Amino acid sequence: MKLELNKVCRSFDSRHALLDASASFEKLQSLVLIGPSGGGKSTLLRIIAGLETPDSGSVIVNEKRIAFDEASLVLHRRDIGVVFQSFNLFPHLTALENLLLPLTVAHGHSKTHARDLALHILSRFSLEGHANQKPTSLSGGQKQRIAIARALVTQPKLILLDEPTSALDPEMTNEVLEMVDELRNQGRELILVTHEMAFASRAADQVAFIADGRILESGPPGELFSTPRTPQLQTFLSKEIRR
Amino acid sequence: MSKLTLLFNRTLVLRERQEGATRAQLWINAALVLLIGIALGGFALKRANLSWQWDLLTPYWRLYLDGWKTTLTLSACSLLTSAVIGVTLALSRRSRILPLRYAAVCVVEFIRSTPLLVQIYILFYIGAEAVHLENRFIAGTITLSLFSGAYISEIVRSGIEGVGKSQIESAKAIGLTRFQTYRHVIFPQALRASLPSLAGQFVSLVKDSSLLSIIGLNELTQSARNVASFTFSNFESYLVLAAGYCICTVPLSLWARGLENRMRYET
Ligand SMILES: Nc1ncnc2c1ncn2[C@@H]1O[C@H](COP(=O)(O)OP(=O)(O)O)[C@@H](O)[C@H]1O
Ligand SMILES: [Mg+2]
Repeated sequence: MKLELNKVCRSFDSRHALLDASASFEKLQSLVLIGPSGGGKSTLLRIIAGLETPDSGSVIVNEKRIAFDEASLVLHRRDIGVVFQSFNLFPHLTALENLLLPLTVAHGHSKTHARDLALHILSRFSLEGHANQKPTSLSGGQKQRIAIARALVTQPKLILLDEPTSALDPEMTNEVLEMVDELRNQGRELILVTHEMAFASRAADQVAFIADGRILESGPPGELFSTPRTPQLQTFLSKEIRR
Repeated sequence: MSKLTLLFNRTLVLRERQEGATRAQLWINAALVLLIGIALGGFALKRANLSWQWDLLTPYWRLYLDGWKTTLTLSACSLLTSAVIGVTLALSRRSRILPLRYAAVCVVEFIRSTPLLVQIYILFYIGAEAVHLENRFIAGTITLSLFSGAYISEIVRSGIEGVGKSQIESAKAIGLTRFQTYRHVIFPQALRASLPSLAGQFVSLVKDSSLLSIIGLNELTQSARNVASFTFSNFESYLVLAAGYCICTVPLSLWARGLENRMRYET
């Protein structure tokens, strides 16, 4: 994937969430965003997902500049899979129906074809046993894995995950991280926000550090974690390691 | 405590932690309440010095039947139209087109803060007159649908607002359009959440239709009034009237109760 951010700004009630965030990444499979909370990671991810519109600046994903009008955004969103911190499965639908909805309604697949695709993905991640369960009867880890399956099932070019393990009990964190690992091994392109530093250093091609609405540093995880250049990253890393 | 009071308490009062009445408790207490009701009613009748004259009504059974049929069709038509109006008003209130939004607010608030009686007069003597609508049935259906639609719009609106922002966001994220989001994510959940209240509103609608007798619509209440004036037997005629409404409303109420119970276990 190629990702280019040019002076992306976004403020809420005259408070900056992103202020001239710029960066450029090429030939990248997995990008991990780290940084203190409130720094603007989610806002950036939501802009890339087409769920939020920047006040100024431009975002280019794979040579294509995102057009922020509603009609183009609907199409853009169909090319991207998003996984939220709080799962966000549709509670009135079973796990299988949660996967069918994007396939049949957004992508116009026939019911039978959609069913085949959905069941294939579910069984691939050993989730087929939960196909007919409603979200309320699933554990947090199971919900999040189904949410990831829903993001995958339409074969998006890019998958965005915003702190997919933060709302989980520690014992469920691993099952979700393993699934993210598997995505990477399958060659899927992804951008992940996480506080799991060990996982970040293992799974990232590139890490970007975001604080105060800016991308302060980026680079391969080994380099970034061993020789942080900005004082903000140094403080952040020492805090994260002490956790 | 004597054995008798203990027995009384066991039968009449639920014990702490006891969830519902046992079958025996149900029958004994229901019978008790029924008996007290009959006794009170009988006492009142005796004091009021009424004598039953049911036979006076029998020649008019056709009038009742016709009125009842009219009430039933009127309610059924209004039920459908009011549902359409209710959803339209609720959506208008959420519209990004501001004139539409404010118009919906005004209509809903006006209807909810004035008596149905006044609305019937306004719609019939001004609205219907202005467009030369002479059919009372249609005029009545429109009035009742607007009235009930305003209440339904509030029920639907709170149902829609009950669907969280995060779900609307995930609907967007999987690539649904605004329309698809309403159709597949918001409406199914909003409907499920508001069905019990909607059923309750439909019961009210059936009873509210009785006010349309004031514009001379020959529905059940009008029939009862006519029979009462022919026979001078107010009490009997209106008891038949009450029974006629119960036949329509009790099944609706039971349905609403059933829905409420089911919802409690589902979520
Ligand atoms: N929808 C919103 N409305 C108001 N403020 C917001 C909104 N989204 C984000 N913000 C603000 O923008 C800043 C950055 O938030 P966010 O992107 O969520 O940070 P992070 O994900 O790094 O914790 C925060 O100060 C947050 O309060
Ligand atoms: Mg965040």
